[in-house]
Amino acid sequence: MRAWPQLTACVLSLALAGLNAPASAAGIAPGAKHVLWDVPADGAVPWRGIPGTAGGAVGGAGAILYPGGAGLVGFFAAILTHGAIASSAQSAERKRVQDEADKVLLPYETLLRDLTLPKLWQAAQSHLASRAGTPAATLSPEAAAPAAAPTVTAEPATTGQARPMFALSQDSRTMVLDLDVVLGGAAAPTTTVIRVIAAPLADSSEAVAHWTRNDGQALKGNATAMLAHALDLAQRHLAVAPNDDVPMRSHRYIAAGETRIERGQLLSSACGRIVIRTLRGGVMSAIAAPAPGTTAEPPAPTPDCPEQERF
Amino acid sequence: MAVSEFPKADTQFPGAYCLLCLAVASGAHSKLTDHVRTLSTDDLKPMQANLAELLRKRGMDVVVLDAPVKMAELPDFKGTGSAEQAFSPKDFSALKAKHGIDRLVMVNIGYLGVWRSYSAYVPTDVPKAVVGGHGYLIDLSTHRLEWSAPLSISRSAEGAWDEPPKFPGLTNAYFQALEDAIQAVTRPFVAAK
Repeated sequence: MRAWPQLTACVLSLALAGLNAPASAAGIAPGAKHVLWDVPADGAVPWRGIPGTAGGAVGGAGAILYPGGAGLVGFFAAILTHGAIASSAQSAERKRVQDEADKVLLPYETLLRDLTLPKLWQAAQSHLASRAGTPAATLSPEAAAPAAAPTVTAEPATTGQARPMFALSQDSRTMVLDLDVVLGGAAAPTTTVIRVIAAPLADSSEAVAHWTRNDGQALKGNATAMLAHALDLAQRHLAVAPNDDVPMRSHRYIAAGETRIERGQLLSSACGRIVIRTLRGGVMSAIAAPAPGTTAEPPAPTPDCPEQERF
Repeated sequence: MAVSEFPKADTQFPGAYCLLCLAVASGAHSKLTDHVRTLSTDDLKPMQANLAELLRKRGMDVVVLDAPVKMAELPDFKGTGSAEQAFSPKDFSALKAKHGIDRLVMVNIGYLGVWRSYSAYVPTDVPKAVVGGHGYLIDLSTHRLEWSAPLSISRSAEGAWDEPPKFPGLTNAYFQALEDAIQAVTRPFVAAK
């Protein structure tokens, strides 16, 4: 199990939306009606740049010729050496690619330093609470106090820990959130990744100005809405066991301005966005891509799809 | 227009050329091979309809040959090509006579599945989902190729690939590769706007 050193101070309690379902997912206490989220007490929100080649693993260390005449021992030594060199080369290459990709974050350095985990959680909580039809989120009064005891509710609850990691595409048009979620106690935790891919900005040349304007209002607002959406998805879809009757299909979606494919089960579709359970068991939310040869305009804001949910 | 009979998805290990090398590579990936052989090719089926629709939009009178063409059963075309003029590798005269067509758009999917490149006994790369083949537009009166393009799609798993027994990362990459193949085949026929 992962260590969560800074996630100890306060608790965000959110009702589980899917618990009328007959089967609860592993890691969820039977009859649980709430997730008690451990909220981080401090620390910065982690960000990274998305490498331009994202979607493909780094590889291809190149062919190596093996020395002859060294006998069987020499031959196997050469193979082991090759394996070590290839692995080391791939690891170094991954780091180089990531370091290069992270440079896209330089214009936002000050903003991102100011956007701490507690601030983001508070904003996400307020965002969730303001949404019609979403179970009210309550932050315990003890939340502000360091090392506060978790809120004890009358109803059974399950515990949850969530760690966000945001990423920005190389053209600065698209934000992606990967929320690592651990539900359940230490005895039987379930770990899942919820990925939320925001709609790309129309114009990359305006991206830096867009995200940084008004003290980063758009960047912070997007990050908040994405985290709130991911927490909502965690409560709706991780609380129930996967339904094997829903067929696996290839779904088309928009990421970094391109149409991509993800295989999985469709969980929901609304506001131009699809939510699918991926082959790895994670949950992914992204803007649905139109069928080939067609175009689709984003849906107009409605009570069911308000403007603040358009990210 | 026609498509070839799709091959079954399978693994290959190019570069593991000696018999013992191939045995080592195959043995090391037996679970992956078992899984890849269960993967469906059904997602390629819309390719023919999509392509036919694009040809109709270009004003062509299109006959879609429903039954997939078994390329191995067709005789080779005897003509010889040159740098300026290439000919179809297969003789499609039987299709011309049977369906009354003068040109044939043929998509031949030659291989699909997962490949991992080797240097003798040692893998030199991560396994990748692949789809490969060729697309042709053939003048059936001469068997001259009016258009020809190789198809070579390769997709890596996002993140880890070694996830037996269901290999979700590579499975996802495989279905991405199938979609990429459809896009690659149809793209040349999309009318400029």
